[in-house]
Amino acid sequence: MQKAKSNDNPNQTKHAHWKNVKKYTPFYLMLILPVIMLGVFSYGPMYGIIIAFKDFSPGLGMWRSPWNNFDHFTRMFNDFLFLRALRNTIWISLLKIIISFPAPIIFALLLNEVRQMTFKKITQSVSYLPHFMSWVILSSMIVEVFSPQRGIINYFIGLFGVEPIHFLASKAAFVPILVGTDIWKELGYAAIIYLATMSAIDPGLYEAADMDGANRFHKMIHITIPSIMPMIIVLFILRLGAILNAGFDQILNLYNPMVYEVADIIDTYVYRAGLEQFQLDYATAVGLFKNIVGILLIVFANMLIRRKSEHGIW
Amino acid sequence: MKHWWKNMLIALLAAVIAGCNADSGAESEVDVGELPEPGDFSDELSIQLSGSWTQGNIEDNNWVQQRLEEMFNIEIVNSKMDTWNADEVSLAVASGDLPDTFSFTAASLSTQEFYQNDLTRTIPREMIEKYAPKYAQMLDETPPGWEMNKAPDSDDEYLALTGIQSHTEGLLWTSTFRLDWLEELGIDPPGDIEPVGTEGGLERIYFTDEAYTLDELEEILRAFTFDDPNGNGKNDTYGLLPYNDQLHWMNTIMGAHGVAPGYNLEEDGEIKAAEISNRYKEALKRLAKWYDMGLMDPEWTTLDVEKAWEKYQIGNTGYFTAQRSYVAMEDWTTMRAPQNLILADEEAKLLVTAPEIGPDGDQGVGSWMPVTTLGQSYHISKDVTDEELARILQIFDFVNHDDEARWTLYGEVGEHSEWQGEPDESAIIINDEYPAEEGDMGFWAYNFRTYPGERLTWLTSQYTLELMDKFFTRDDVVENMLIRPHREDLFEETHITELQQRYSGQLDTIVEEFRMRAIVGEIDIDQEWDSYVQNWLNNGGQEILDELEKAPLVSDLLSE
Repeated sequence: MQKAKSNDNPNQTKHAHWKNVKKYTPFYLMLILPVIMLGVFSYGPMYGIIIAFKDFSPGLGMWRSPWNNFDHFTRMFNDFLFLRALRNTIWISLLKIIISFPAPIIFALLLNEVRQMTFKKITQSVSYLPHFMSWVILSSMIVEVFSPQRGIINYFIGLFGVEPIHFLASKAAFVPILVGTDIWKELGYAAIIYLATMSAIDPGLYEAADMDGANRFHKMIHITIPSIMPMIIVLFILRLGAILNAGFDQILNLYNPMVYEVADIIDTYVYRAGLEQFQLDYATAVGLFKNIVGILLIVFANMLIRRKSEHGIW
Repeated sequence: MKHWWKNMLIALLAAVIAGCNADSGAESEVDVGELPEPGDFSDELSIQLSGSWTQGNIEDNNWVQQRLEEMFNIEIVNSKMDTWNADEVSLAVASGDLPDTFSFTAASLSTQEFYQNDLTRTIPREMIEKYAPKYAQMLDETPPGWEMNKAPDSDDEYLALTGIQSHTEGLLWTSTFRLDWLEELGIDPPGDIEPVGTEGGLERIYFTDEAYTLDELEEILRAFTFDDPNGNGKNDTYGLLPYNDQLHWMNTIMGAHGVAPGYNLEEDGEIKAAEISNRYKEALKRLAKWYDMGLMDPEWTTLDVEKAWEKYQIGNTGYFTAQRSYVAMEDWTTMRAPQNLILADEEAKLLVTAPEIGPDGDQGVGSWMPVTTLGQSYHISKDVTDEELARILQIFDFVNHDDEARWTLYGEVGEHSEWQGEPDESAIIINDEYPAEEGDMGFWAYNFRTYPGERLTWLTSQYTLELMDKFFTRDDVVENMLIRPHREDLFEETHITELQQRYSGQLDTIVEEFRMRAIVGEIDIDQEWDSYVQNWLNNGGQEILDELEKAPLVSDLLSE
């Protein structure tokens, strides 16, 4: 019925549409600048992707450099170090999604339940701090904390008679350290968005639940979590799209050849083998591969979630 | 008539296309007679000058700039890029946005590649001889002189100007020991010792041109680690403090096995990279043994060289390799080990020895320059005109080859800088109130890394020069202890650079991983060696070695 009605008079619909545009003209005008910026800075440079398929020569430029018959992609998939880096990237990223992604949600839920406002604010502020420090600084701190000679961790395990462990040179310990330090750095900052979403929940819902005799745990399970679920899903889908970004800055500042086998990710490998050796075309090919995988994951994850629920990013 | 404008448009388009085609053609012949005579600077030119020390810290209208502009009637456009930063250099090269003159310190393209990529122009020999006579004289006097940086298929065109790296002559690196620890442990030096200097800490640095054997070194490292050399009653010292980002810490140990990092050698009748040679394998096995004995600081796998210097300064390490300029305590080296300890601890004493002697009598370190002291390239951008090139050559000749141009590096001695010791016999030190490079003074900003004639003495202290005479550049030492590669593509006649660029990321990863895991005992070297070598060969190494076979023998190059 609705459909039939909307198809009744296309001219009228069009007219309504333009009327709508006219009504919100100031907003559309405000949109022009961001759209231009998006076009110029985000879409404009994309033509550079072309060098992923060429033997790029700076003198010849992007257009005149010769095509190379997908040589970079062939090289990529014949290179066992790239494949190892791909495996490490996916593994570290998955661990971060499974462990790091829920951490700020849990933290935000717990913080939301704190009634002592001073304590809540201090905790929140302290948890933000590491986010504002770069991995260059944080890595120095982490190296000290895990040092086999001066580190506090080794000091404590030494009290139990355990020999010092060089955690950052240990393949078994390195990835857990990556995940742990990632949580530590981003926990507070990532929780902000959930706390903001929680603050928008209608207090009437909690009051109604109180009337029904719900305790705080019940309210969290039945009101808070469902209310922030759309935000969780959107962020989860976006995080999935970045699965091939396993944390370049963090790993570059912490890894060493002893742990390459588990810690060398696509970005660090391409930095060493591509950019440092002036293989810009190869680095672009890898970047393109990463982006395509990311887009596909976003599309499929969104599709899957849309089938099961009404949430999604489009 | 009706379509006159269309015809005009077509004609215009044809002219543009023809113009474009003409632009992309080969270099045109230069008529040197048409260019201004040397010293004729009547036309003002604007030139974007950069040199080997361009690091983005230059200020416009700096002191050196003003004087050069006045001398040569030019307007200098300063380059603000950091030519020591690989990312910035990559970006500049990829975009083709290069200064008129450049010599990047950060690795980028080879001289051949710059030219093949149409980023640089050639320099006619006739112009060099006319406008840069001092530079030409240096090439005449320094073999293989005019053979360096020659343009392909040409006898009188050059792809770049060449530097002379006289500061790298002879051995650069050697071994140092904590002499106060040796004395405490009752271990004698390997020969007669004498202090490097008389003050400023140099009186506590002793030198001998004799060396320990590797077995003696092992015994010393053991004693440094376990016999409480600092006498504090604690087990807190180590023999060796390696680092994970460079190989200098093990270059004397590799030298004692007759191999130098990064070089190729002939072994069992075939050409090999050092890192897949049996000699290297033996060096690794010895280091693995030392690690197993507990002689190395266990934290080394996460230390880069700068952190290792800092850690050395604490005073818990007994052995460290160092350059000759470090142990002569040159001004620019004071933050580095081992001399940082001399400054930090007044009780500390060092012993500098010749590199260790290996089981087969091998001894030495790799030469800094593989064949000749001629090296480094000063490129001229492709857009530079002949007239601009004539002016650039004259500036280049003055700034880099005329001793009168000392002010471009140090300002006026007595006003902006001082002799470190005796005038004209010691290094020149820029006064603290002036920036050592670039800034508002512009020192070193337009210079190329080249040290002809007296210039070596300007930047080298008398103590380093004395050490060089006594040992590091002595003829017998150079002949017996300087390890050179077996083959070297000195004139860029092969595709080695291109292959290395393509594969070195993979190969370095394979080598670094194996080295570190082998030393810390994670893998059995004998058991894993063959698969490691095969892996290296399969990932581009074989291609590089095959290409290397086309390069001349270093022995032939030296004899020529």
